[in-house]
Amino acid sequence: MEQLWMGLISLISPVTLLYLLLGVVIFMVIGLLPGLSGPVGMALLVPITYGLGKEAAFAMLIGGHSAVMFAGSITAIVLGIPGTGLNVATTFDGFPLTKQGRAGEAMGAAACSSAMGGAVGAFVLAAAIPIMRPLVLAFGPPEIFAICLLGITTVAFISKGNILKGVLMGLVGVFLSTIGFNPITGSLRYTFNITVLWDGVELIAVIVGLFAFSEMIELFVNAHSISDREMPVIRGIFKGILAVFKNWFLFLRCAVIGTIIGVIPGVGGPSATFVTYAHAVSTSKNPEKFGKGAIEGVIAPESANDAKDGGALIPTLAFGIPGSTTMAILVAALLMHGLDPGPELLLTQQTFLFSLVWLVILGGILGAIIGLGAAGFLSKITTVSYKILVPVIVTISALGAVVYRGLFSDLIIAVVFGIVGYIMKKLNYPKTTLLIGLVLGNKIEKSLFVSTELYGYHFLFRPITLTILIILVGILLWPFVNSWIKKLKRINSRTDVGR
Amino acid sequence: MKKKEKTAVSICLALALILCVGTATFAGGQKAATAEEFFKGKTINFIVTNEPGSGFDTYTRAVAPYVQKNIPGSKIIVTNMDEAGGIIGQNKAFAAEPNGLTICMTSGAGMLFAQLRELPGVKFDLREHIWLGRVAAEVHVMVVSAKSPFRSWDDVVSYKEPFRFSASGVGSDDYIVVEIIRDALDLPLEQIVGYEEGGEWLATVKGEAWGVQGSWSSVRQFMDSGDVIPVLQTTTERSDILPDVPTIVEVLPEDKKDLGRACASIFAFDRVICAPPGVPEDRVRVLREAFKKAFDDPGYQADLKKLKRPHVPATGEETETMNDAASLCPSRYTGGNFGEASEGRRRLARSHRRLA
Repeated sequence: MEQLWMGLISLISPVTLLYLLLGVVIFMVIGLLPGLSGPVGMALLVPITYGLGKEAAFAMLIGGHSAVMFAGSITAIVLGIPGTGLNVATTFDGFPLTKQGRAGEAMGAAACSSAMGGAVGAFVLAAAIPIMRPLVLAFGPPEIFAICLLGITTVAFISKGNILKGVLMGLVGVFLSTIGFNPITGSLRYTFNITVLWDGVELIAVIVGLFAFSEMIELFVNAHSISDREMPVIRGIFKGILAVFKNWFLFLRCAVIGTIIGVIPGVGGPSATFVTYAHAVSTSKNPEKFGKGAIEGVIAPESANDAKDGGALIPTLAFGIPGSTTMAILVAALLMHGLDPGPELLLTQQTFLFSLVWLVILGGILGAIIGLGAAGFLSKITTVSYKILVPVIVTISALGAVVYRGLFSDLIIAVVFGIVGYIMKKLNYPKTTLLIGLVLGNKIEKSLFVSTELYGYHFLFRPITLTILIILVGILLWPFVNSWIKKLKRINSRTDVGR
Repeated sequence: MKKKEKTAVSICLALALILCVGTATFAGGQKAATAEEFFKGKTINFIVTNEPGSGFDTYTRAVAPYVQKNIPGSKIIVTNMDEAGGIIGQNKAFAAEPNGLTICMTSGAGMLFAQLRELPGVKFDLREHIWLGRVAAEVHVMVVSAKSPFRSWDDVVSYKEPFRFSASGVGSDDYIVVEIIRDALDLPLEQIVGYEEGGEWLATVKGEAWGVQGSWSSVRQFMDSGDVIPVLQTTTERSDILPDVPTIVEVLPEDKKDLGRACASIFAFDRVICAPPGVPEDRVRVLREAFKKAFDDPGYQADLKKLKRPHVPATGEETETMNDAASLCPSRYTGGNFGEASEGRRRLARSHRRLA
């Protein structure tokens, strides 16, 4: 307990707080630009922190990174363009809310969920410090497979009324995930001798194309702005914040789920958002409202998005095994400052570890405040004429697609998917399920292979894996069971009335 | 279209054009009298064929300021190009204008295997590159899980039942060397690939796999925590850090010792720096001297100590020799094994087909 407060006290200095603020601002600007994200910010700032003290350095890195998720969510809500794969689930209901003129409400809910979700993740991190090693070792390829499968069930939920098209696009996404090196045999698949495809189809380029370019094509063709109405933003923000407290139990469940998923190296942040979105839909009394502007559809993924960072720090600090690309860069930053991830760090640097916990919380809160401070200006974007909005967004998105890897071919991929995305929307094929398949397909393939190599099909009966699979079956069956229960109740009430 | 909107469109298109085309490299100007004068006011692009945060990236960013210091007036910018396993970055370094303003930190072993396997997309030839130096060559160590029945190399060799090692990825230098050792000694060993990043280490710590091979900097923390035991090092002579662990040359039979020396030479050709073919000799001299002075700089050595990275440098001339040795050895004894599926890979392919 004493170390927890010592960690906070170690951050109280003007220099450290200044670097925290600077980090938050820089990461938020990066997060607002489609195509750029946390890893880009980390890679840019790590060399700069070399000469700083470790408190100031990590205030900038960890505190700033905690804010970047919300920045990506802002574009997901206001423009329907997710900042990264981590913000895709937020578009499901965030963008429809914006079209209804409720951008402020969506942003308020996202900001509050992000900040508080980050705090939940941070507290779990703090509580887990004594048990980090066994916690990380409890998970392996079988559990990764089960969680990714759980994430895929989102396909079923967001394609309600359109299951066949949704599943088809999900399979197309899984097929696209096979492009590149076969992780099992090392051979190349479907690259057609194009070297840039060896690493697969770049996710950022696909997101820019499917969401940014295709949406801008639609605005241009139909000659309208994103929304033609706007509610007062401030009132909307408070309404959104209040919604999080009204749905506090959903928020808490999703934050905990996000943290647990973040602990498992290799599962990835998008899985956490898809799983929690599917969870929100399956446990809602009115699942039919999801996808059309349900505030719970924003709360669920946003809670998980920031909470998972607290979880991702656990394998990073305990083993030096990064839970994500950003954490990989963070490991380099730790080494640069003479901090060796592993048992020694856990034993001898507890004050520093707890300072990281506080930085996750403070960064999330600061990012939410700054983001909401700009909410009024940002929500006005929705009513800007398409003649100005389209060229600006297309230009920024194009730069984002190119800058991420420095490859012009990513711009070509984005353009192709932009056209494909527009056609998909016209023909009523869901874009998001394609993306889910693309994100999770490779992980499912690898984890299934390793699991069966190690355990045969008995891996399905490992305790944690089995529990997750039972939950998955429950989620899939629950709508039918719920409908059956409601029918029974109606029949019973008619019978009672008849008497 | 109204004037304001036209202006917005024009500004955006101009911005996109400027930034998408990228920064032009100006190689013009007056002809420098000496190589030292040539580098004054110039920017050197230091490509790293690995991702930010990797060991290669760490070494590059650590050495760059000291190299810059020893080329007065120059500025060094580090660029990560890890796409397609670093092949794209290596291609770019090979095809760059040979004026000394593009250099590249790369995995000599990794690129060597890519070239020997004749992977499509490889457009470089390591034998034609100009080698400027090596920042370090880590000892690569085979370790066994503390949860396995192995405690020494003798235990591994004498075990007759099939057992599994985890591996970071098919085609990595560690994966290939373990395959070579397995085939040379006919061990009932199978490598499991497909783990997410770092997952192969967790698998070994848990005892899910009974061993793994990796660089010293990756292995060290797991050794310190008692999770793994080193049983073999891929060197020609026992290193100071592992004096009690046998070398690959020691454990192989007499007719296969050349194989062991070849594997060791491949790992010696590890974190190396190259320039494209055709760079004028005087500029190569300036670059090689700058790297040599950087390696000897106490500030750089202190930085590496802080980063807990080994300091095992080599000069450009020494690295050229390593390149020659590494390039020749595999074709001499493997007869193309690097490009062909070993029995292990065939087993993996069979098991993969069972899943299909």
